[in-house]
Amino acid sequence: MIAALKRPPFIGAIAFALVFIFTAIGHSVMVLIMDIFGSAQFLTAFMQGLLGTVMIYVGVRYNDNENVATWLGFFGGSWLWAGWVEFSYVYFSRHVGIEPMPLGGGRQQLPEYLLLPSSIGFLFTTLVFFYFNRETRCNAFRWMHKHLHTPVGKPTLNYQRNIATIVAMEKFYITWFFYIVLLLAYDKRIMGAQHPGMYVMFFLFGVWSLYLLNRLRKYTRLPSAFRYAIATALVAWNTVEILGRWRFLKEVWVEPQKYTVQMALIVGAFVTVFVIFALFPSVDTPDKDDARAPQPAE
Amino acid sequence: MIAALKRPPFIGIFAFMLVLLLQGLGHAQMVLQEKIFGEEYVFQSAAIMGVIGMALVYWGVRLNHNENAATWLGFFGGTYIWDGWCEFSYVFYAHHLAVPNLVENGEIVTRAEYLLMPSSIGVLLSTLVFFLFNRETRCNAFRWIHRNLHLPVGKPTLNYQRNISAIVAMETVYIIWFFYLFLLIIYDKQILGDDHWAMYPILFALVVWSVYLLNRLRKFSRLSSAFRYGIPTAIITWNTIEILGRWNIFTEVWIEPQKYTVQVLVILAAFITVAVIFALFPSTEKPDEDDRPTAQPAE
Repeated sequence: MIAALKRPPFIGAIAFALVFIFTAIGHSVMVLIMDIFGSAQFLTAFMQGLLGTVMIYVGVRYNDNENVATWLGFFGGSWLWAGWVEFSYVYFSRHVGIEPMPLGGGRQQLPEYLLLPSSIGFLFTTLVFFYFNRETRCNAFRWMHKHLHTPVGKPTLNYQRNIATIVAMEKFYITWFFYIVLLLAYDKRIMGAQHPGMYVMFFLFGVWSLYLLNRLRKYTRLPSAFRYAIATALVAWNTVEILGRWRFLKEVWVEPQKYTVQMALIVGAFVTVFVIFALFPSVDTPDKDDARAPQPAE
Repeated sequence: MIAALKRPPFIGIFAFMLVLLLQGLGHAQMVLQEKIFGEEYVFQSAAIMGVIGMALVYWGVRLNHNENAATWLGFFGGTYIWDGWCEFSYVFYAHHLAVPNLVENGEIVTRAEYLLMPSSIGVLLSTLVFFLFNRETRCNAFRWIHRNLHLPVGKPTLNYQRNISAIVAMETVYIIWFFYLFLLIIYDKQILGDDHWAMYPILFALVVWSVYLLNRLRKFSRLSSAFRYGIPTAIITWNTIEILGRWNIFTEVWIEPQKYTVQVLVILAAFITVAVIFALFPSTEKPDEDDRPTAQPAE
């Protein structure tokens, strides 16, 4: 039984479950910070971001231990996003007096999510750096280099990746990108949650998730599976977000005080999967989708 | 005469002048873009401007073996991306969310887009974590932080070739971004305010910092490294101009190019002249002290 769990497809499935469940928990953490700390929420959020920075730095120092660097990068990037980014929009949306937008049925779009899409210029600007980075091993970027005929040069021989910062930015940028995609799509003046285009979008997210899951199930190494799972789970999470928006399901993670038992179960599931994951020994064979390509992307 | 211009301190002075003059011209260009294209097409033109910036950066990536070309393309690419994508995304959202300008005594003191832009502070600081903890960085400020805060990040990779164009583009974007937010936050009356007494020590500190950087810049003998060092030097100096303009000590002619056409044309001509002189200079192979990889890596 245990031996079977150490092989594909379980390695990828467990990595996926971890990131997927953690995304829900991240929502609850933010709601709880707002509720528990009240007027001190911004100081708490600042400390949360600082903790994320420290985790990434510890990961940088442990770069020789791929598992540790990957985990610290993931949690560091998540805390940076939740602490510094989410709450900077909460703060400034109130500071400039943006009102919530009614969505009907007593629900409303919070001001911070009306303001967040304004960062779209910064998203694409800073992505230019990562996109034109010849050391990148991002499958999506390398696919684009090849198919858009935009070679960026040969990667440096013997270049050691700074795993914690890369994983942190992977988590950060994928979260940022899909937040903006969904918020733009939800905007009634652009498309709207009930627009037919949303069904197409939901279908595409479903197909994309399955494609990524099919690749992820073949992974044999924990850290590379986990890095690939970040993208896979966050793409798949969009389908959950859209279903929640359409009220097909109850998003218990945005009301953790009301759905305490359900959230406790989710946290329990996360801890269980985490322990199983942490007990697995690492395999040294590089995975196909994480290995340096024999022919660089040009 | 010409021979003297090819030596320090003129190399550094030209680099500084180029970046400083372009700050004024960038403001004028943004204002003109809004006037010329009107509300109907200004965002399309801004999107295209950002795409041009991205194309320039990519061209620089392909010409990475030519350090001068990669540096120039990265700088102009970064500037265009900033103007096109960053500035105008806030103009768009200020309209979209119907955020009003901040008006005092019948005069616009802060435009709506600049009331929204400080919300990006979380994104700025979070993404800077990546660059701060990059062991390949040659940023003097980051290396100073590594050394003095005792935060070693590991040894840089031997024979690592920098992606100069992309780095220069991000250097330009991040320094502009950082100081925009810094000024916008201290101008905010709920935080400090432009008439707060603390503005005087801030101006003083910025002047001292500018003079310190200029003193280092004057020693540079290579065009490309002088230019890269000229970017933070000129942008930090530009902050003193911004603060003096905010205090109405002089007229910021670059934000009213239609009214001060002659003055802005003179600035443009000065920029072109310095650029031509700069472009005609041969490059020196000897690395400059402030641009050289350290013999002992930053740890």
